[in-house]
Amino acid sequence: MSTQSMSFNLRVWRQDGPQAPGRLVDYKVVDISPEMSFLEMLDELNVQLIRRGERPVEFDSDCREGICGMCGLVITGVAHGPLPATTTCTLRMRHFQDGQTIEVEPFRAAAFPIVRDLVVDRSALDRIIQAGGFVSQNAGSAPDGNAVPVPKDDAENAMDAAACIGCGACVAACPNASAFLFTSAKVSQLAYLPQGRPEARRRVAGMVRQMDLEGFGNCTNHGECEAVCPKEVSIQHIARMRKEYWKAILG
Amino acid sequence: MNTFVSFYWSTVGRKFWTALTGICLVGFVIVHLVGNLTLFLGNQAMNDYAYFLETALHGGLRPFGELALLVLFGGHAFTALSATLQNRRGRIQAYAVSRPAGGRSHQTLSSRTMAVTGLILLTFLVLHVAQFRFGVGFEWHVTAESAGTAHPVRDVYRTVVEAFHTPLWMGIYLFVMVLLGYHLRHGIWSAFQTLGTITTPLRRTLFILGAVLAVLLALGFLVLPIYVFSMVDPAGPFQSVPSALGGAR
Repeated sequence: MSTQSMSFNLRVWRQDGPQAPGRLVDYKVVDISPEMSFLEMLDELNVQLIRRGERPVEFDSDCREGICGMCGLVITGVAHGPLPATTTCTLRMRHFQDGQTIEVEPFRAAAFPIVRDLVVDRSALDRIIQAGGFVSQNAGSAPDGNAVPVPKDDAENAMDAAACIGCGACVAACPNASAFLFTSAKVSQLAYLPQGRPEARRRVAGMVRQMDLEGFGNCTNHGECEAVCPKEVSIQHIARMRKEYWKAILG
Repeated sequence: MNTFVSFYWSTVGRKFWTALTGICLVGFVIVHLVGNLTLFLGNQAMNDYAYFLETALHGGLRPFGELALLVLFGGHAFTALSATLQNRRGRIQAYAVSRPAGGRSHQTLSSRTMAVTGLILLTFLVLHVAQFRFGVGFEWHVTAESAGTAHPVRDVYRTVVEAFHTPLWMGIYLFVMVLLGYHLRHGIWSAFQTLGTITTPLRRTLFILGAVLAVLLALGFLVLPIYVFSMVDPAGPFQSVPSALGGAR
């Protein structure tokens, strides 16, 4: 076990409120264990700030084990930090150099207004789900096993899409602030399965309309979203959603 | 009609039309390059090819083709630019620090500069059409006789040779053809991704094939001006008459 302690020069985005101007503020943190998560390191910073009588840095977090989708920061210019397939809460300080300068910014998008500091309002994603990302037909009681055949590939694709935790990193990383990866994952997880087919057209039409109303950008296939996605959701689902969409509108 | 309008203005729809027109334009660029290669066969072959385009389908090919190209180029530029403006509204405050994540990303310099390279290509297109389609500044004609009447026929070959012997024009063409390659490097595979379900292995193949095709097309268009510029005696083989009008003299 390494017992060495690390220190970092943090540059953290501070912003008092939604309309207030924000700026990067320099902080120094010392005695950081390499095993600490990025959020635990920020906790240490906040202890220091509270002792000095300053307002602590506000950030979102919940499960701290990489499954709830609540945390999300842009760290050294990359959503959820430099390690692939990782949420901010499961990113460890050993992945940084001792003494490194680390910039910490909120997820930025017109559809994600900043509440304070690093906290953004991601309810736009909830409204996309509300616009059709569910199955509302009466499915009756649980069917017998294997009574509803699902091809293996379809089951795998649906499960891969369902891994999306809705953190919004795809939006944060996209040069266009597009929510295509999120929306397509929520379309695909149902569209691949028989239970999702009856409402497939209404679902995709409603979700894309809501996505556009929220002010997200277009998808121009940079693929940055897939690269930062903590669950490695593939842009294959974006291609799938597009096909579902024009089948729904034009078909 | 309403559904068509809502499809067109949706984020999915705009990119659908951009991709569809883009694929058609790539097809046009390939045909255009193959046609231009007649230049290597000499003045006769090139003016024959130009004469064929002018007169094919009783003269109907050219107006129909030009109208189709106008719609394709106009539609492609309009939908792509409207999407770009929408994207700029998607993030009002930029990141203080932002860098590509690498790894599984398909982001390239090409993908980040599509609007810039596209606008330069559009500007170039206006110059290019004025120069070679309408022959502004290059009023070379050869007179051909058929069925006892004289026809003035534009000497496309001489126009090309004169143009590419101007260092300024050659420089502009070289620069723009490199940008064309950049534009197509992202454009080709991206259009396929936008137009339908492509699986991950197929996407990765197209990502590479798109780059190869982009380089080949750019090289093809680069070779022509360089070849013409390096010709020792450009004035030699002028005065070629399309063979359909009596052939070389």
